[in-house]
Amino acid sequence: MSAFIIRRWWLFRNRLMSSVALAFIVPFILSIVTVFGTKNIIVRSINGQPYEVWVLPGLMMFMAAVLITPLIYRDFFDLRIHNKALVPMTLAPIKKSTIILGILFSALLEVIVIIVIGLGIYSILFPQAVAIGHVGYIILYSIIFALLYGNIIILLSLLTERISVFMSALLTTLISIMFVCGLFIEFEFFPLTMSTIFQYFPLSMVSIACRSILFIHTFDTLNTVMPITITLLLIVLNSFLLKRKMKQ
Amino acid sequence: MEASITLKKVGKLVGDKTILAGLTFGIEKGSIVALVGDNDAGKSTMLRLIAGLENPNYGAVFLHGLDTEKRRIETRQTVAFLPHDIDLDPWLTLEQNIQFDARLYGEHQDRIESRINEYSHALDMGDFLYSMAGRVPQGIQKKAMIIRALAHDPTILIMDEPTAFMDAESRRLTWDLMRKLRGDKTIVYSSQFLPEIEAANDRIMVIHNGSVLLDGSLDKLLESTLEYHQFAIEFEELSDELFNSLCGVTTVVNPTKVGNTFHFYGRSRKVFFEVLNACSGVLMKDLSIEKLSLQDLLDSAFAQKGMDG
Repeated sequence: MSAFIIRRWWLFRNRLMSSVALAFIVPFILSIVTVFGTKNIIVRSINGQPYEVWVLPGLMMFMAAVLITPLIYRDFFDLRIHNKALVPMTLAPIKKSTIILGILFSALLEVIVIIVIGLGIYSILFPQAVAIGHVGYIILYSIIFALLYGNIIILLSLLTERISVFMSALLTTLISIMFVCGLFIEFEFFPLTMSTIFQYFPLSMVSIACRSILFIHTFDTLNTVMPITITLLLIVLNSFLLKRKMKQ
Repeated sequence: MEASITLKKVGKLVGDKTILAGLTFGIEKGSIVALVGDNDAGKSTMLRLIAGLENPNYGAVFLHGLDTEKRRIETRQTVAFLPHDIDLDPWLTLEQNIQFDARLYGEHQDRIESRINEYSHALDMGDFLYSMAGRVPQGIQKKAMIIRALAHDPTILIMDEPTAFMDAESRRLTWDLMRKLRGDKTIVYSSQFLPEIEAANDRIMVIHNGSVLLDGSLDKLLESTLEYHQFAIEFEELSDELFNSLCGVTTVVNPTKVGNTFHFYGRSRKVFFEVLNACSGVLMKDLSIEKLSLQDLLDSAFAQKGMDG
């Protein structure tokens, strides 16, 4: 695992200027384009929270998804299909699940750093929206969200061989989670049947559980444990797929 | 002598096509073995099977007596694979690429650095080690890949075209290093550079259609060509009639016509005089007589039938 963390640090350091710029620009742009306009349409959530307060966990989770995508894409698609640099990793005397976890957790570290910066930027843009007591929970559930979403992107990267197919699937996934996982729009805005279905999506469960603990002060066991369980199952599936794809 | 690598009835299929068919052989510890053959002979597949990059459809590959499929983790610790194509991470420096790979094998930092210093000096890498992999010439990247393969101190080194993309000096340094490693490491490689193979190996395996056609030292393989010579006679004009008449000389082997030059093989110089008799009165411009080399041996007509076939 330490090898993957050091590698991630080297990758970050080797493109330091663009990494630092990205760490500030992405949270700033996402905060502006998603919250400034929408908070004038949806002033308060259904349970009475100001929109900029209610949307913060969803925004951070979406930010985690946007940030982890290129890191996962690069390692599991680009370095597998185009550059073949994934091959020597799979030859090392380590399990495929260690490779999956190593890449995923090291990418997650970079994402956490940017999420913390994002929270700082958000607190400047909306001074009343970030409660200190909420920060820990938001980061924790963003990590759960990023791990689950990261595994979905790994699955997508391993299942596709062509960049056009991968990009189409990726954009569809990103736009879908933006609207149907309760990140920016509450489930109640959708027709009842759709709303019910959407709430059972594993990624939706994470945002529901996070808001439950932040705004209702109730730990939602089912919606916390279920996404973690699915993440673990996906790690097993992705390890198997990686082994198959590498013909090993 | 102890075998580092043993293949037992190993077969590999891709779809309906047989890439390797029932291979059984052993490779002695510390030897350098060259695989040669046509482009689709199955050399790369054999190397990938030995390195554990692919599994055989049937049979088993053993490294130091351990089955590569059943004892995957242990066998991988002992082997390194150098592919033909560049597979370095372009966003890391060459040194970082090497360090990362060696760390995956659980090597300690000081030992990794010591090996990087030793091998980069041997291959004259200079300051390139600290350049981004994507920004250096492919020949330099290939040298870095050799260092990466050696950084975890494997006992078996598998290389597919190890000197591809390299200039003459780099090729020389690479083979100097390989010769230095002989005895300590078992080296199996494929190459299209036949002069390199003639210069550095203990054993040559000629692969054809997924089978080992010839196997032995260079001297042993060339024994079959003993007393054979390659003749070339350039005529003022080599008509079809004359060519057919020369082909009729019973001691002439594998005759071919290139322009006005008649090429053929013969077991002794006596053949040359028989050919001269057959073409008396025709004006000749030039002639050459050469002893056979590995290239002649690999000529498909010979390789499939043998020199006397």
